[in-house]
Amino acid sequence: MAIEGAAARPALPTGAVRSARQDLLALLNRWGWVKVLLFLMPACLLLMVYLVIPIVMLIVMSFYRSTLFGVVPDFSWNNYLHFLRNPMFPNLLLRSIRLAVTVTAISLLVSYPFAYFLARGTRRFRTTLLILVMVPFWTSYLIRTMSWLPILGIKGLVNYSLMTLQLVESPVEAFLFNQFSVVLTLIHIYLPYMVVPILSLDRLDGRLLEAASDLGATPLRTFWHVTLPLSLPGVVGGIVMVFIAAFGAYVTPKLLGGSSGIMFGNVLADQYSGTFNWPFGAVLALIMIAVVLGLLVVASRFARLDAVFGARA
Amino acid sequence: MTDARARWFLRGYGTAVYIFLYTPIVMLIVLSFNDTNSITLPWGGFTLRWYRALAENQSLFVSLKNSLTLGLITALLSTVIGALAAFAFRSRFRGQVAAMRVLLLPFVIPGLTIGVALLLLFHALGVRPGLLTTTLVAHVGFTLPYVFVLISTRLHRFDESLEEAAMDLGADEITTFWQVTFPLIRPGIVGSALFAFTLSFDEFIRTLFTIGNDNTLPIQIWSTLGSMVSPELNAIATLIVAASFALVIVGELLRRRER
Repeated sequence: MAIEGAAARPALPTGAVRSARQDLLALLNRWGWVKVLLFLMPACLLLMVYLVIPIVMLIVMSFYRSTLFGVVPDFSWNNYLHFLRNPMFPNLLLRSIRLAVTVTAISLLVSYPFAYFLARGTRRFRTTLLILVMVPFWTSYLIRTMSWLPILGIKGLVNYSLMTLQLVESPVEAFLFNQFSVVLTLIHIYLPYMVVPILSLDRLDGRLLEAASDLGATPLRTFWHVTLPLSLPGVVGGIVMVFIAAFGAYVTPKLLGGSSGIMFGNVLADQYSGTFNWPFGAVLALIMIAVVLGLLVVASRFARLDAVFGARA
Repeated sequence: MTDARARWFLRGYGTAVYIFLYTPIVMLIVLSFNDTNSITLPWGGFTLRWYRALAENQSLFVSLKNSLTLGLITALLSTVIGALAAFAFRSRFRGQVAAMRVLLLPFVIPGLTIGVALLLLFHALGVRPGLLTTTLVAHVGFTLPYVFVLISTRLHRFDESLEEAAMDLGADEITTFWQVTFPLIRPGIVGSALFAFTLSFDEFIRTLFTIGNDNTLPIQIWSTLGSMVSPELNAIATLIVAASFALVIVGELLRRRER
């Protein structure tokens, strides 16, 4: 058998090349970890350059001193103290967290029934409907932010409709350049971040629901004891994704926030483009990362986050 | 509430969410044909002049070309690196869970902080910021976890007995990979490359801090938004939305053909 099989093999390299190749394969087979290491090497190198070393740079920079003549190496806690002493910065941080929480909460309230609709309310157009949720997800958030200008502006769609219906006499300015427009737009942009995890992890088996109702559970009890626990990992995943995205927002508050809707990210970015205080900017960036990691620690108590992000180790 | 009524309620609700998701995009498309000088209403009649203006906008073409080049190279690199990592994760090794978490970490670090941190790094190294140096690193790093997860998921569903059969018939690992494994996962690989390309093409914040004097399309749109706001922007946006739609549909078709 083995000999016949060998005759039917696809053409392989011959001679020295072949034996070198076999030596290599034999080596890799003997030391499996060599293969793992070789395959992981490029990703590790990239992660070092993209994530690890830059964050170390942030930490180092956060202790430096910013002077009129540029950044001076130092080891001082002054930048951290500067953050704490000036109430403007902690207040801004709290306001940004509050805005991000608002965006996350409303997204969840909107998405949950919507995901339920996609999972159970449709049959025929399901794929199309799913694609329609995904398309905005694939479209530039710059454009999705910009797209609210002609809706909320003084001459925008909302004011136009209100005027036509004679509900208001003059255009309302209150729709744009404030916290409202920022929250609304962030919800619009990041809604798919909430819908998709809820959907993909919702391994809701119709038979479970039937079983529950056969055993005499009311729809409410079924929802509370079956549907909700099963969808919890997706919900936690969605909360994490939307909060991080909203909290780290820069474009939306910059473009639609006016002065009252400015967020933490804008002040952080200003340290690098306007005021050029790199050490203080590093402190702000580290605080932003710390908030996100804190959220992850809390979230991981409620669900296995690895699964949320698609990992299957 | 009866079942039928609940279903109609859900449908109405679903429709409302779609209206919320799509009204701004539809408005943008409609207004790109609007014959006035502002980007909003009122409607001033149908025109194609904003698209004609686009065709004459030289700097736009440069930034489009930059975005396409960057997107293609990013997709290629991050697909190769991500696929290698995904294959490494097929075998069991010590510290696997920890390694997985580190690989997924870029998902949860806000792009703004990455952009700023990369700026510090490249400045300290004395690397001159540019499209195919610093920005490329930012984009490949950004897209890598997505590609890795997509390909891992694909490999996880892969039937390993097919490979075993090939090996039993005398093929070595490399032959098995090219003759059996790769053809089977190719749609997944193409799909993730497509995804990486789209992510790179739309990326803004990491680009802003790493690109120096070069331009990508999102950077160009951003600087245009700061200076002059004309319906030309609506026209650019419409074309990008159309391209995204086309890409998603192509991606979905690829995914279906695989099954």
